Parts: sequence; C-alpha cells; structure tokens
Amino acid sequence: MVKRKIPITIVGNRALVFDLPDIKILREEYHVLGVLSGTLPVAPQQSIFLSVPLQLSIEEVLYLVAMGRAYLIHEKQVTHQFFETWTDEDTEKYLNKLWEGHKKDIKQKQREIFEKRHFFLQKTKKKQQRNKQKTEGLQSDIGKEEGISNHDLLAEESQKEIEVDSSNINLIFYKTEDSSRGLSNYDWLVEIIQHSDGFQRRMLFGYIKNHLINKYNGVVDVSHLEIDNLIYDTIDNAVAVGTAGVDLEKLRHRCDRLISSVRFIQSIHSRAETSQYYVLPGLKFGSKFVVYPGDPLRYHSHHIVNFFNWDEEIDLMRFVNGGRLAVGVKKLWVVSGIKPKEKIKDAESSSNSATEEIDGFINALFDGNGDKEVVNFSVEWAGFG
Amino acid sequence: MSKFNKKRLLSIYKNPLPIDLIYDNDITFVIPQVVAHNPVSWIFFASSYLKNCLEISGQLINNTGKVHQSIDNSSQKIVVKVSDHDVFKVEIEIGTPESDAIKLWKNGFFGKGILSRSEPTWYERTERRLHLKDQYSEKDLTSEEITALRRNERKKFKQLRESYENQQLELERQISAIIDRQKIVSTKKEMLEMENDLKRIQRELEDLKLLSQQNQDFRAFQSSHKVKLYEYAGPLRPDDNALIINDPTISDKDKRKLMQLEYLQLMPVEAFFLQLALDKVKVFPETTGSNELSTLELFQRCVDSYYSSTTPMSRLAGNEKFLLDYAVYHHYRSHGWCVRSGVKFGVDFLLYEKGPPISHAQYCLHVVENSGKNMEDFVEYSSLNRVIGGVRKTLVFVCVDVPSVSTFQKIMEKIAIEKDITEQQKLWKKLLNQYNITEMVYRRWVPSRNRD
Amino acid sequence: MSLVDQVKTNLTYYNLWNETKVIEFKDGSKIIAGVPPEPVHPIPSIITMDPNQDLEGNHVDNNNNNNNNNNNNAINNNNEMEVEQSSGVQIPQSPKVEYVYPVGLNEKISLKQVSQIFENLQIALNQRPKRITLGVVANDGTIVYYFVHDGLAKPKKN
Repeated sequence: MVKRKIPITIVGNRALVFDLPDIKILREEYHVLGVLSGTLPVAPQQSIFLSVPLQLSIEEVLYLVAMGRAYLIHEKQVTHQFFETWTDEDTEKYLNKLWEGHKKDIKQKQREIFEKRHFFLQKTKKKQQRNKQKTEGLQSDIGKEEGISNHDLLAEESQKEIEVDSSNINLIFYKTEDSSRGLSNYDWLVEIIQHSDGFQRRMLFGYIKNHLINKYNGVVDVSHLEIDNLIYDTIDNAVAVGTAGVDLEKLRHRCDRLISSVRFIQSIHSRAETSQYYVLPGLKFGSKFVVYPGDPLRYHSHHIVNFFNWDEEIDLMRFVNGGRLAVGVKKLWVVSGIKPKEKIKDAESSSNSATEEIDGFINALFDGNGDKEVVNFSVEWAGFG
Repeated sequence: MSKFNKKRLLSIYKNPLPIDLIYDNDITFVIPQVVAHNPVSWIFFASSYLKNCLEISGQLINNTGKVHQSIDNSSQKIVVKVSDHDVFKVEIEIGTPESDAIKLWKNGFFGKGILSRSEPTWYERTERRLHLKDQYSEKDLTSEEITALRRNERKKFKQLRESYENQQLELERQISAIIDRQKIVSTKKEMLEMENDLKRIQRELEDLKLLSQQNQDFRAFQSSHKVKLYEYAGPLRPDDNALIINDPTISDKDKRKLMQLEYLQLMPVEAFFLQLALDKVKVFPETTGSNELSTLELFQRCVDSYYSSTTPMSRLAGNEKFLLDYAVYHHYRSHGWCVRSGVKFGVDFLLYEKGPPISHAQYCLHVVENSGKNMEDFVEYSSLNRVIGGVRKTLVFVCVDVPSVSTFQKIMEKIAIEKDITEQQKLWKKLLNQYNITEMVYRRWVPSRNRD
Repeated sequence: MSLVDQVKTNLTYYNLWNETKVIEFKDGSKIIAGVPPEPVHPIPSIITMDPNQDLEGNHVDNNNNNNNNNNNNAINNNNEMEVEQSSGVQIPQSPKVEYVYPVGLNEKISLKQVSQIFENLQIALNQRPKRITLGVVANDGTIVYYFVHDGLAKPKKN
C-alpha cells in the first residue's frame, strides 16, 4: 500500500507537523514520536500540557524524508507563493477584517471591564452597607449621604474606565516589532484608506504588502528550498555557505554523527525483529537516543544509544560509565557507528568546502544502501571483578 | 553497621595518615602515689594534679596554641617498587601484622590489594579457600568472603525454595491423577486404597507447605542452615597448585605453604604524595640494582604513567592529567579526607570521610581543568550524574586553575637545578600553590519533583 | 607486570577463572581466553552486522554470495593457522569460554578497534563470538570488566 506522504513544515529552524491525522500516522505507523510544542505566547504551559504542532528532531526529519515518507514545506517558500497573487483588494479585505476584529475586541474588552468594575463596586457597596447597618443607630444621617455618593461614584468610575481603555487600545494587540512604524495603530490607517485617492492607496497597499512579507519572512529573497537549508540550520547555525573559516573538521564530524543516527533509525525500523521499536531522544540518560521495544507509553526502554565515528577514540571512562548506567536502569549501553567503505573515504577527504561537505552528506543519506554499514555494540557491566 | 563495630573500626584505623607523633618531654606529669588508707596522700595527689593541670594549660597558652607534638621521622621509610609498566608496588610480607603495606593501609587507607576489593586480604582468603588453614571463626572473615557467603546462602535458599515448589507441584499432580482415576474405578477395595493414598499424599502436602512456609524468610533460613563458605575439598586447580610451595625443611604438618601473590598497589598520586608531602617512602625502579628515585624523577615517572609515551620535562605544560589529579588529591588529603580511586563509578576520585571500611564514600570527584574552554559534553555529564545519583552519592566537579606554561616551566627548571632538599621542597610547595581548586556540585533538577 | 598479566592474574586468582590463556594475534594485540567459575550465558542479539542480510532483514541467498563466502572461509582457514603459530597456544573454544581484552583506563578505544577484536576472533575461531569482555585496568590496580555484545542485544530479564 502506498501511503501518502506527510507534509513537514519548516518554520525558522524547526520542523513542525500541524495535522492531527498526520501525527497519528507518524506515531502508529512510522514510530516517530517527536515532541508536542504548541502553546500560546500569552499563556505558556508546562510540557505535559502542550499541543500541536508536533516538533520533529533533525534525525527524525531526515529519516522520514530519506525513506520517502514525508516531504518538506518551507515557510519562506509558502509566503513567497502566497504573496505572488496578492492584490490590492486582498489588502483592503485584510485591513477591514483587521479593523472589524479590532472594533469587536475593543467592545468586548470594554464590556468585560465594565462588568468587572460593576461587580466590584457592588461588592464594596454591600460591604459598606453592612458596616453602615452596624453603626446605623449612631450615624444614620451620614450613612444616607454615603449611599448616594456611592451610586454616583459607580457611574463615574465606569465612565472613566472606558476612556482609559480606549486611550490604551494598542495594548490589546500583541505588539510586533513594527509598531514603531505606526502600522499597528489601525485607527488612523483605516481613516486614510477610506479617504485617500487611488495613487495614495496603491502606495499604501504596497507598503502594507511589503510589511506583511517582512513580518512573515524576515527576508523577501526566497531561494529555492532543498533539504540542505535545514541541514545547515540544524547542524551548525554558525556554519555559513561560502564563508571562509568554516571548521570543516567539525562540520564533517557532525555530518558523520548525523548520518550515523539517521542510519540507526533506519536500521531499527527496517528489520523485522525491531520493526515495532521506537527511537526517542535520550538526554535523560545522557545519550543521543533511547530505544523502546514498543510504544513508550507501554514499555520501558531497552537501549541507551550513543554514536561515534568509526575511528573516533572513545575514553574508556565512558564505557565504564555507560556500562554502569545501563546496569542501574536494566538496559544496555550501545555504541553505534557506520563502518566506512573504502571508496567513500577517498571522496570524503577530497571535499574542501562546506557546500561540498553538505552535498556529500546528502548523497550519502540518499545513497539507499540501507542499514548494512551500521555497527552496534551493546555494553554492560559484567557483574564480576 | 553496629555502633560497637564502628567503634572497633575507628580504634583500628585511628590515624588519618601514616605519621607517628611524639609528644614533647618538657610537659611532665609528676603525680605522687596515692595510698588508699592514707587520706593525706589523697590531698597531696589532688593538689599536685591541679597544679600540673594549671601549669600545662599555662604553657599551652604561652606557646600560643603550639601543641607539643612533632613528627617522628625515625621510623624506616617504606619501600615502593615501580615496575616497567608504571605499577607502584608495596610488598606484603606474610606473617608480619605490621608490615609496610598494612601500615599504609591502616593509616589513611593508601593503596589497594591487587587481588582484593581494597584491603589486601588475598593471602588469608586463599589459605582458607585451599584448606591450608581450616581453623577460623566467622569473625575473621574478610568483606569479600562475607559477600561470597551471603551469595552462597542466597543461592542455597533459592534452591531449597525451588525444590519445595517442585515437590509440591508433583504431589498436586499425583492428587489430581488419583481423583481422575477414582471416576473410572468401580470396586470398593480399589476405591478404599485410593482414598488412603489420597489422604497420605494430602498429609505430605500439608507438611511440605508448612516447611516451605517456614522457609519463606531468608533470615530464618540463615539461622537454621549453616552454609559453608568453602565446602569443596577436592583436588586443587592447576593454577592453585602452582602457588603451593612444599618446603622439605619444615615439619610435615606445615609443609604446604602458600606463595604470596598479592601486593599493595599505589596510585601515582598516592606514591607522589607519600614521597613529597609525607616523606614516608623510598621509590625504586623494579630492575635490580637501580638507585632510589629522586622526587623529580618520581614526578616524571608519574606524569608519564598517564600516557603511552614519555614527554620530556621541558615539554610539559603544567596541565597534564597527573598534575591536575595530584593537585586535587593533595588538596583533599590536606583537608583530612580519604581520597581513593573512583573508577568503579566512572569518576576520578571518591571522597571518604574516614575510609572505606568505616563508611561509604559521600562524594564523587570529576576533575576538570579550568581552562576557559567550554565544558565538555553535557550529555555525557547527564549520564555520569545518573550513575552517581543511583548510588546516592554527590557528584562534584573539581575545577583546577593551572599556571601558565611559562610559570610552570620556570619553577620546574628551578627544581631541576636545586640540590638542597629543603629548598627544593619549598619550590614544590610554590608549584602546588599555583594550582587553585574550585568545587561545584552538579545535580539534576527535576521541576516537578524539586519544587520547594 | 604488563596489562595482560595483571588482568590474567586477576581473573585466575581473584575471580577464580579456569584455564586462562593469553592469545596473541597477528596484529600484536592480545586477548585472554578463560572459563568463568559460573557460566554466564550470552544474551541474544536482535540486530547484528550480517552482510548476508538485506534491508528488510531477509537472508540473501544467491550464487554470488555463496561463492564469496567460500572464498572467505578459505582465507579464514589460512589465517587461523598463522594465529596459532604466532601465539603458540591452541585457542580454547567452547560455549563456556569468555574472551577478555585487557585495556588501560587511560587508553582510548574506537569502534574500529572493537570490531577488529571480533574479527580477529572470528578468523581464529572460524566463528564470530557473541561477545567479548573488556578488562579495564585503572592505575590503582582495580580491574573492572564490561561485556561488549556483538550487535544490538536484548537486555537481561530480571
């Protein structure tokens, strides 16, 4: 059965999945879990209460894409396409919609504030009345006067509140960094649009369109998106294409590590014995991955996996540590890596720029040689000595 | 551990370092004899006692706290041999209760018996294991033997429990078989026989259940069954046979003697500390006829022991692992801690308040150079912390500030040309003063659990 | 006392292993074979590096592969002879035998080296062992032992 490919949206340097059915397929069929990351900026939540979108790790993304199970949508590309067909009418609609919402919001807010204030004043009034009743025998005259003045106060207060509120209208909106340009104060903007002639309108609309593009893009220049952008972003933010002084050694090291971990996931999912396994990030156990023999909600994990390059020298202390850790939590500490073929080695040493390195990495990733080169060793404390 | 046991241990291991103290003679206690039936002697005694006490406290005050003790350097220095593979060995003499190795162990827990968990007890253990010495009480057993004994007991306990369970199953099977047959059988005689059988088996089963119930508790099992540690007295392993010396000059009974195979091994930091700070050892290379190593030579040897090749003195930078380790070791030893290797928990050192037999280590030290570079991999630390958290110890990062290469080299050059021992000692002290130590406790913080 | 001797002594007289023998391979590396006093059963591996398995975990059985295998075996046999000659010791082989690789705590080890140990043993025994043991020697004489299973093994059940 050919399954439909899952769209993964790249926003900034994060890979996100927004659709619940997609998340379900990822979990149940591809055994990719990711991390739920959705929250509201005004009410941040603890991680247990987070919701869609699902954020995927770079390894998960590369695995899904390399296996042809997902495709990437880049935020920049989408914005670009969207604004290509954007007309002045769209701008007007957009502004009107904004204005309507704005007005509604203000009304809503005013009503809320009024009600709150009213409720509060009622409460104080009642309290005062109670106090008054206590002292009634002595100061009945004064009490009467107070009652009247309270009533006036209520009306006065609510009036004042509304005024204050409308002068602070900006605060209701989520402030963008462009507020200094005055674009977020829609009051006067709508005024102008409604009363200006064609030319002014076009100018303004152009301005707004640019503003919107900027807001969603950062840079209007949208280059074609390939997987390498994402890799650049995640491998090392500091690595820029074509910039001199890129630490090639470091980049190569990271590429190798990354490919080892992607290959590892592939090897787990492609074998019959381990097809039901799940691979999750392993920071809790001080490792790259932890491997579960089934859904992590039902099982304890079996393996703590770390990746090393084939020739990389590993401190014996890490073996000691890993083995001890594994025994303590009834798991195995796994060292994993890729056994290089002789040919690849030559190609590697010849690459001398970051671009070439990344290209080599992508080629290797889509090489399609499966898990044949993945080598694992499971370490545990021997229990004697 | 019982209170009594702890007290006993503390009295055995009362010295934190292998230093003998001698008390100065100018404080003397002249106390007249007390004659029980003569009350005048009592008064005499009391007055002179008080006088003495006052005098002593006065002296102590005058000397502004200087205690009249000094280090006794008259005792023989302990001989340490260093092998070609940089193993620092102290021989363990058989039959001498206060041999050098034992002295090092008892006074500050230096070194480790290579065939023991820590205290060198291989010889006694092996004598018992090979039945060369059969008279001993449970009190003599070493910690290794106690562990082995408990393991044996537990194994026997499990075996017994299993055999009861199997017997029980067998009887139950028999019962159900009889019940099945009862349905087919018709004659009364057979019926009666079966009935009897059934009763008998049921009774057996009851007894068995009672027995296995009594055996549910491990402690009860321990007291009712005396499990032996070394039961098998058959032929020896060829490897063990090779260890037995037949001495023809000795009478028949004690003819078979065990060869001492164990030695006390010192860490390079221990050997260097004993030489530099305490001046208690003489280190010789193992090759015969070699001269005693000078402190500088020993230093070089120690530094090299961490690597597979030698680095000439002039190429040292001052941040070699041995130097970092030694600075940390010296620091904690000076503060009265017992510092031992932490390899079992994947760290550099363990800190004991007193020592391994008395209490568990509380702290695990991870030595890092404070080099201004980024700390290493925090993922790795997470794993380290898990291990240490699992054994209820505290992980401490010990950050060592190292001197600049030029400062280090300058002092080392001076040490190399300084012939006078006391002057050289001062220079070593100066070198050590260049190393600063900062501690940092590292602990995982779980927001949902540690929310106070 | 060299590293190998330290580990061998420790195995024989502290852990009471039997028939401990030092084996030297062609590349100069040494390993200690011995029988622990109580057998420790190797745990099964779920994924090992099996060159005869394709991506889906099926065994590939075509003529080409078989030929290659035969060639490999021929080479293996030759090597085995050499190994025995170079060390002068018959390599013990039975399910009970464990293979211990002595290594200093201050040394480092790479995946390549671990793989090489397995390959050396594979050539010598004509069969790849399920696991090896690392005997890690610290500078205070402590030796800690760690099993290294070939492949992704299943944890023990307890």
